[in-house]
Amino acid sequence: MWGSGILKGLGITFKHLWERKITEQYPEERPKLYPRFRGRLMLNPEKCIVCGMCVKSCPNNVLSFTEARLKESKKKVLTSYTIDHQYCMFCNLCVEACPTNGLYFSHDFEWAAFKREDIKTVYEPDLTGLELLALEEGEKKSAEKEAEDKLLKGVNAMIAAIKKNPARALSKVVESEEEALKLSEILGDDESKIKKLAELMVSDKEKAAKVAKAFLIKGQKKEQEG
Amino acid sequence: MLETDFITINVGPQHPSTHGGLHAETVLDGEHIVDLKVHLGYVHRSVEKIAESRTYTQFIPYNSRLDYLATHLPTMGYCQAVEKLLGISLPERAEYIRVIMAELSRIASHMLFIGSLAIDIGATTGLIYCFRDRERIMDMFEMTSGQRLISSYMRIGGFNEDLPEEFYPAVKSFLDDLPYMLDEYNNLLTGNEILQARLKNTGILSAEDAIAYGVSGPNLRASGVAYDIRKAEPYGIYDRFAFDIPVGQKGDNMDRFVVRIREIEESARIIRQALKDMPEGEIKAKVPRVIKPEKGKEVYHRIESSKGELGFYIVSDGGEKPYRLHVRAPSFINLGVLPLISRGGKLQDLIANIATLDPVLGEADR
Amino acid sequence: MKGAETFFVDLARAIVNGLENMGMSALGAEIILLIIKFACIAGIVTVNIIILIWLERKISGFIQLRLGPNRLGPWGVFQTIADAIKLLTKEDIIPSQTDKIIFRTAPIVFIIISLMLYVVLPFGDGMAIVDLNLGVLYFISVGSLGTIALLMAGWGSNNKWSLLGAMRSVAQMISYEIPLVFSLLAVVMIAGSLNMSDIVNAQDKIWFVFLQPVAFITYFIAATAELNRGPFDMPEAEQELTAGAYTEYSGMRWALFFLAEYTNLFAVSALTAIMFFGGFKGPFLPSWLWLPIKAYIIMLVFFWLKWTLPRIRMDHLMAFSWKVLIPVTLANLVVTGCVLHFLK
Repeated sequence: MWGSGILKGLGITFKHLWERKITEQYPEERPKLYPRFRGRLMLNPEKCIVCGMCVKSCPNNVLSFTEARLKESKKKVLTSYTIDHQYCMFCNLCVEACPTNGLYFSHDFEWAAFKREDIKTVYEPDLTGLELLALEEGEKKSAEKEAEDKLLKGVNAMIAAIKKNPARALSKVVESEEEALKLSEILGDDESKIKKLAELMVSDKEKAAKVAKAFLIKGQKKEQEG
Repeated sequence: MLETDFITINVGPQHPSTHGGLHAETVLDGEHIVDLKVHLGYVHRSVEKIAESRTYTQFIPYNSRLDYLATHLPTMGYCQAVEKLLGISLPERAEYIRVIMAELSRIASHMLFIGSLAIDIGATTGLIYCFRDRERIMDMFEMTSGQRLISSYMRIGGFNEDLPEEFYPAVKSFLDDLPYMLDEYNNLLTGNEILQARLKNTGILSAEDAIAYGVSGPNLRASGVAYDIRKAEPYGIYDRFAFDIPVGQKGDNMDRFVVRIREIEESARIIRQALKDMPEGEIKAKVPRVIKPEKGKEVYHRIESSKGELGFYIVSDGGEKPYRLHVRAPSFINLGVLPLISRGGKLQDLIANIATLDPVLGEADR
Repeated sequence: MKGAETFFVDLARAIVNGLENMGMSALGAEIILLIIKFACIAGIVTVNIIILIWLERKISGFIQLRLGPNRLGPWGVFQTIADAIKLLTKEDIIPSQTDKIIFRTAPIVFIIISLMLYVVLPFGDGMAIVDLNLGVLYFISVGSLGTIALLMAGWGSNNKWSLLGAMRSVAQMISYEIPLVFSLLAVVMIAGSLNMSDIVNAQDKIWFVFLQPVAFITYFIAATAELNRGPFDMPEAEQELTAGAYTEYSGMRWALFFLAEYTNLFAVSALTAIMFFGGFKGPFLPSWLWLPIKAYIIMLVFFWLKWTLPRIRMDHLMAFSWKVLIPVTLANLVVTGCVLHFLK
């Protein structure tokens, strides 16, 4: 009271006036970094086994990579690995997820750049001398082929089913069994029509139902005329 | 007869002392505040919506971005909520580490409160001293997790890294120096007659109003209600520690200031006990790699954050991402009383009121 | 030692004599000497301000455990010059809604008023530019004109923050003018003169700070308020009014306000030294060194106060002036008058 508090405060500031200063003279004086300091996220490409755990664990889509297979051993290898640091939250989740400790935080904290693209780090491991399968392309082709094969198999099975038990097979596209029987009569032995309907039944059921209905109406008209 | 008129003035969102992006549309009669309207949303980052597109683990680093001044508290609230959802119990050591980190965060947050209050009422130097001391806590966070301000150290089910060796001497020396630091703040600020004249009997929030508005945390305790979730509904292992709940009498700005200073002491007490009792052993419970809580299960978990009752409400749809996550942000609810306590005061009181309510706009806007 | 003491006085006399020898009339020589003196004052003030701003930044840094400016030149002494160059080359922004004439003239008025204060200060023995008989009265009346410049700035900016700052400044200056004058009157009563040189000479035996401690304290508080310095920096109050009356100013116009404030600061510190600490009187060193030394020490106290204390609230500020300072200074006046009467 009566100014004693003010005087105490003045005493404290006066004391600090002569004390050692706590300013860290940054560019000359380097900050003390602790072992766990999270600076720039780095990858040791040699350790990478291309498992993709880091990409799955990242909350902010910082990481992405491309891969290929070796021609002989069919082993996966890394072709490029991109770390887009501008989205990184330094949360350590990818480092924890990495099974081989290939990802780590360095102590590098000075990474000002003039362009956004410069913040990105792209690793392109040296793959000369290794024969690679063009993995992505090859896989895509085989996948397409597989799907085609699957479709063909399904269609053949469906055609067989229609021929064998038309009531049961066709009741999937029409409303009742009677209609199914009628449809089978209309279709008769017309292979091309059966094949078309079977294809549709495998790939697109709704369209198949529509086509079946159209066949029915056509058949009814023919009956009435005949 | 002179004609006078009210003037409407926008305090914020670009104003030196609005703690981020608070916008108070103020109607002034000279220097007296006639009316006040708070506009929020300038720091809205849709954290709750982001949670719906992240897995339970991936959402951890976003929590620190809610209340970035007390980094471990929101993370602890979220992790405990998910653990409650999964029915996991933590190893002893992990629980103790959590308490230490949480209380250190609380001290850091309250220290920043003292500093920002000091600078808001014009005592620039007070801020620097508080920051100097808070720096030591930031250093400790850097030792443990490598990050200073928004560190993601806690994980669902405990921790992935144990406390490093250099942490123990650091926290010990910090706790030893803490009384001297508080002495310094008290001599420089609390005892200062100008500060007392500015804070005493301004921004009075009665206990009834505080409860009616849902105010929680130190602001509620300053109004004389001894309600602390650490005592009322202990979470984690808080029932093992002995500590007092500092309570104010009137609920004015001075009470809110003093309660926080005393809370720093109580937090230090808790840390001392935790350091003494901490066992060796495991630091992480067994948690499935992909977290998929039961379908339709929901959980509400609340903790005593440095700002008040911080609650996490999580609904699961059986997938690996939360169906809905809601944060009960104490800053947001505490800001509701700002018009009530500021009306009839002076413009300068408004600044002090904002400072003592201690809102973090990142949390209020989410 | 004798030569150093009267160096400037001799120089002035030599200039006048030289001019008269060249065939100029005595009046013409005096006018030219006056012009030279004003130019010197302007130069000294500018250099002084550069040092002052650097010093304040350094002191505030040291108090806050920082180092202050330390990159440009030894201990950062050229920092202020760099800042001044930067401010001079900045774009001159005049917001479109302002009252242009008032907005432009306000900083000029402010700096002129603060420079006018220096006219009556005796920098050494017989070294006042104009040794006015009503020196103290002149100083106080010119000093209080600064309010008008602040009011012009606040009104001309057409900004609510600026207006609030300006209103605060007016209220504050009017309230604190009275205790300031009353405190100084007590000194004047003892010295028996309003002439500053006479007041200094009256402190030959004992400084007035020892005869009038109460008046000194009240004067110091009122002077801090008059200078708009912390803890009474209401017109700026950056945490409340963003920048108060200066909100809309930038570049050199703002720098002029800044300059004027520091000019005022030095003038008032010099006045404090003259009224209470024996002005230019002191042992060993020549008299024209003693006044700056004393003024700088007083300024350090101003800095120290500003960087320690929180800002007082506006209504407390007014109440403190009207309810505490004015009664105390009045009582002090009465006591001083009675004592003087009985001593005679």
